[in-house]
Amino acid sequence: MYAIETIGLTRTYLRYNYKGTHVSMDRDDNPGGLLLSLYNRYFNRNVEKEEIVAVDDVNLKIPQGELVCLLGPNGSGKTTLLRVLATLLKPTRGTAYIMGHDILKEEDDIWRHATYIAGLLTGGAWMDARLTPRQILLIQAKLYGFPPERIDDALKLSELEDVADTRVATFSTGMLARLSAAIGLLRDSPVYLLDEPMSGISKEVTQELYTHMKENIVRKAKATILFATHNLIEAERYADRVILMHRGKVIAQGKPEELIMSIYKEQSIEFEVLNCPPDVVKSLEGLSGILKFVDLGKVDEETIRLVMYTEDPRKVLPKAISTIVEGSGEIKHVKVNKPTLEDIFIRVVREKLG
Amino acid sequence: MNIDRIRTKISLFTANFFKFLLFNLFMRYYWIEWMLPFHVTNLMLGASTWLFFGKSFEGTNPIYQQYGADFISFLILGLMLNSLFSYTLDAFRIATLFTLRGRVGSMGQHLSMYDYVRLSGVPFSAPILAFVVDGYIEQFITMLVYLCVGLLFGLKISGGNYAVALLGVCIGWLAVIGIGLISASMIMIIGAWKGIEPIRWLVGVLTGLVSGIYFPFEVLPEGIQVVSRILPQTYALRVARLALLQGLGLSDLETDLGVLMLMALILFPLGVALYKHSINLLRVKTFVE
Ligand SMILES: Nc1ncnc2c1ncn2[C@@H]1O[C@H](COP(=O)(O)OP(=O)(O)OP(=O)(O)O)[C@@H](O)[C@H]1O
Ligand SMILES: [Mg+2]
Repeated sequence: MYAIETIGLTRTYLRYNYKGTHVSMDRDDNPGGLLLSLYNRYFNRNVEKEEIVAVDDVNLKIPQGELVCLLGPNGSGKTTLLRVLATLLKPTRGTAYIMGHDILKEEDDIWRHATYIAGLLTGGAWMDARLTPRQILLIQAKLYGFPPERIDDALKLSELEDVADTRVATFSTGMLARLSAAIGLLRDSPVYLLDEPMSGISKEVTQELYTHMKENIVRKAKATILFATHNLIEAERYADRVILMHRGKVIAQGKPEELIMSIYKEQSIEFEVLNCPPDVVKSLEGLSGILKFVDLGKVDEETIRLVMYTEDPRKVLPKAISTIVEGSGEIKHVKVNKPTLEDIFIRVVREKLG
Repeated sequence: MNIDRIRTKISLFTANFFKFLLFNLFMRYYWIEWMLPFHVTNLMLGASTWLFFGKSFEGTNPIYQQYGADFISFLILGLMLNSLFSYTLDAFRIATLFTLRGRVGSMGQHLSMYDYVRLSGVPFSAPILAFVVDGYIEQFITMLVYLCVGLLFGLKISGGNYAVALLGVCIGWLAVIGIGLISASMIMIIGAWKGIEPIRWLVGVLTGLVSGIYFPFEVLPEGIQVVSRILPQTYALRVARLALLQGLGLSDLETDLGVLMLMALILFPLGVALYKHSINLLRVKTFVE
């Protein structure tokens, strides 16, 4: 059984675009005025109806016990996908299963299997500032019918034991985020849906939280976390699997390293060379194993910058260095660029755009 | 399996319903101090005005004969049931608006009440019904005040047929709940978020004139009486008054009760279905509020 399986999942929005600079009294779907919105929809030429396919025929199979990262530029449909999975939005077509439960047929039971948190900071929504972490967790435990003993474990795991009886109002951002994580832990659901969980949280805390999520929730409790983010570095470092979305479609998915290897076979080597004779540049260009050679031109009077792309930098690098040195060029700087998820992302998106 | 699910749903509902109810009562504590005494005084003076007004031509119109020629009892019953029914028309719409606009959270981090309720598995009916029930408490106090004022002025209901009156009121209540639910669905269906909701408005405005709250609808011209006959309130008021003031029983009132029953059987399920549909629309359309 997959933790999350989607079958042709599609969600569209209707959007009304108001051309021109006049301010319309009727905002998108604002139901304030019936006659006005009817006029705007059917008679007003400045209003255009547009159908946005926010999630477009998405088919995913996510196994249990993985930290999965949903990547995509703004407006690519990440939030929409997560909200559909959390049953906060209805899919337009298709369906999905969370731990084998149909999000359409069993829509009122999905909350038992999936915890949706829009940002660990938005987890504040589950809290009342006047209460203490222990009280908040007790409320949650009662709501979900969990034994209260679990509260201590959750507090310990999220390192909130010292402040367990302090009012939440006095907490720092990172402490709040950890409390959110504690609520998540307490719920012990097999699937977590997190929408940009780390926005607004400092780097150290982010790191701590990811490690914590990976160790305790994913590895120990064998739960699945699907988190949406823009941060490719985080994704590359922590995710077991990444899913790239663009304009509502899944354009690539897999383990980060494998994805990079499969899409971006070549790596680039960048040289800055002092006093490089032109014939050396020529022979560098002719080296075997080089896929592409780019002369970026002069950095200053004597220095030039060269970039070569290759699938095998280990072979090319020594040859290139000896060519330069033998031709009495002086190497100021060498850098081998391993492709990152970012490169993959840019390339895949470009390819899709044609 | 299925029974288990229904059982957990019911237990979720009851647990949360009482929590919301308690919360509402707690939040409305001010009402006891800052509203209730003034409200009661207003009601007493208002009802007295009506009663003195009525006294000035008491029993002069033969049309009161069928209601026991007792204007005061007639009017008090009308006022009591009107406060019940007119709140019922509004209750679900106001509760829905309140819940949909509600936010839950702390320190700038908020979830919409709807999302919160959904994500915690709380049935949406729990906050809605808690809100509605909470409002009924106010209405029951109002009815009690009317009753007291009535007794002061000589309300006579001792020889009445209480069971039949109660039956009529309950069936009528169910029908009016149906209308209230239809009105509440209009929030999502036609977008009646602000100002007047046309269905409730129409029913409310007609009820005041034609359903016989302040005077028997039989005094109205034939043409207008047709309108009276399509409102459940008319029948509920008639049954309650005839049963209480004239002691009429089931067999005497079977036509009125039959029509009322039919209305309830149509309006209530229709209201529930439409309301469910409208709440589901929340996840299909999305609103900018
Ligand atoms: N309520 C709405 N009505 C109409 N269109 C919407 C609505 N919500 C989102 N959209 C559109 O759907 C598309 C996907 O939006 P979504 O919020 O899912 O993107 P996202 O990947 O989460 O973006 P971000 O990274 O900025 O959070 C966008 O084009 C957006 O404009
Ligand atoms: Mg988003």
